[in-house]
Amino acid sequence: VAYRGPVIFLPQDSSFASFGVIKVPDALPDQLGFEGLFLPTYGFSMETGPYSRFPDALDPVMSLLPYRGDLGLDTGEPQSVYELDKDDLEVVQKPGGGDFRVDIALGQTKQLPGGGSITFDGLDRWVKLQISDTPGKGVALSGVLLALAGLLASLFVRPRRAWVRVGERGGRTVVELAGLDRSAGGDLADEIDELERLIRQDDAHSPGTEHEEHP
Amino acid sequence: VSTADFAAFSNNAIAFASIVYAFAFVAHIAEWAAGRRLPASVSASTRASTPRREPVTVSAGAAAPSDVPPTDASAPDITSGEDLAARALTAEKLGRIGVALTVVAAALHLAGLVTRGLGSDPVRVPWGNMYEFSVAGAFGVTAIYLLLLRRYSLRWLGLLVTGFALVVLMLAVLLLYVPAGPLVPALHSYWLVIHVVAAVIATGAFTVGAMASLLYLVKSRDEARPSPRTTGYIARLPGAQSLDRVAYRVHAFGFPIWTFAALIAGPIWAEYAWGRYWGWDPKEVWAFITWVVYAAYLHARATAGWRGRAAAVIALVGFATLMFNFVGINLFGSGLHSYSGLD
Repeated sequence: VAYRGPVIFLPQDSSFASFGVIKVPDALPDQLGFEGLFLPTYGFSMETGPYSRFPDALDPVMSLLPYRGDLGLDTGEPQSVYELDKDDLEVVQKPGGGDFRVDIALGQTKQLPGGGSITFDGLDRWVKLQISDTPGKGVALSGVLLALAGLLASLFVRPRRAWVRVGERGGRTVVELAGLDRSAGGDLADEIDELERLIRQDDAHSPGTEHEEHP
Repeated sequence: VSTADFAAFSNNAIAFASIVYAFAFVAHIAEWAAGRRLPASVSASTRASTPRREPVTVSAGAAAPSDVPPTDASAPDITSGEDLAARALTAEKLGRIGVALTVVAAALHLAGLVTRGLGSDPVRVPWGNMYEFSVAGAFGVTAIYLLLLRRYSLRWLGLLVTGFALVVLMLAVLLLYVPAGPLVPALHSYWLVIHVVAAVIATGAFTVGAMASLLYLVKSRDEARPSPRTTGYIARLPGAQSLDRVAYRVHAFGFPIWTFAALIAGPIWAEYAWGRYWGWDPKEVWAFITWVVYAAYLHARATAGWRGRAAAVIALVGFATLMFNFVGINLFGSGLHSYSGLD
């Protein structure tokens, strides 16, 4: 046996069809490489080819394309464990011609044309864990809630201004009221009237005031 | 009653809701057809009981047409005031029939949604795939219309709302239908309720707002003409200012909810589910684009030179991005939000 051991296949979709490669540098006479999919629950359709029906390992199958040649490991250049360097690799051919694709169910052994075999011994479940801490998230949450409160206020609080100007004209005190509504549609007149009423209330004991209106 | 019975009931309820929406749509068409030659100034006596017509509506919208005498050249067959009042009454009745039918349709629609949730095993909220989200979203539009109907006298929107609900339900049933079933594992979270309900409400508000903005564009164009129309649907719409105000209020209601759904609740759920708050997933990008466009609308409406028609166009662009995010990204996109349930 030239190589034995677990190899990690990376999940590609929600059914855990996983992609990976197996490198066998000690195979003789040529090095062997395998590239393909691990399918936890095997399915096949003419449109998609082999696919995984379900994420759990109900009918696990490896669907691999074997390569023969030089894996390129001896040059000293670092390479990914999830990729084959295919520069000096050839796909293993069927005896009658054409690429040889091998589907192996769990426990099966398949012979390769031109020598060699591959066995699907077993599968180990693995999990990738990432642990992180975000100490600033409380601050971020309060910030975003404040922003939302500010947004609500800016949308629903009607900005308006009122002026009361007291001046003197011809020896008489003139009180002028004005208002400015920054939002369309509000009825500012009512509020100015209310303001006027309040001023008159305070002024009720001083007789002789006159009333003039400029809309 | 078994789970399958609920699911079958749901399908029937949605089908009947579509039929009743179609009747409501026809009633509203008949309403406007009956009012086709009717000057906008004439209204049925029953109209007076419609509460709270806004004062600005009267001054801005109805003032111009009411100056024109009813015996206008465009309406030669109208002879007597009594005849006009009778027609106005007919239109009013048809409009009320339309609203009543819309209420019935909305009740069936709601029943369809509830039983869709009960018809899945285990029982769940009825917005787990694109069919269900379309049905729920259409209900959001109808619900917002019916809730605001009295407050803003929105009956002129009935035609568009019932038409919209009808089209969305038909498309959902014909193209998007998937049988009731369990949720995809990724959706098992109470954030599904918070995030999606907020998104449905905001989508409903933006849809109603887009309809009002669209009618605003039509109406303001008409008002800008030397002689605005005096009869027909456009003339009987509220004034452009009033339409603009309704559009603004609905958008202003929807915008904070959208902010919460897309930019607050969404990222929090994304952090729980996918380990990051914001990953520039296609759905996230488009939700953000929609947010920016609606923010631009709210600013434009308060900016001299942009308020009015330009702002309304921005609102419609916002609605287009919203629809693209729902239809385009769901069907053609490949992001993490691929829950359409269609293969």
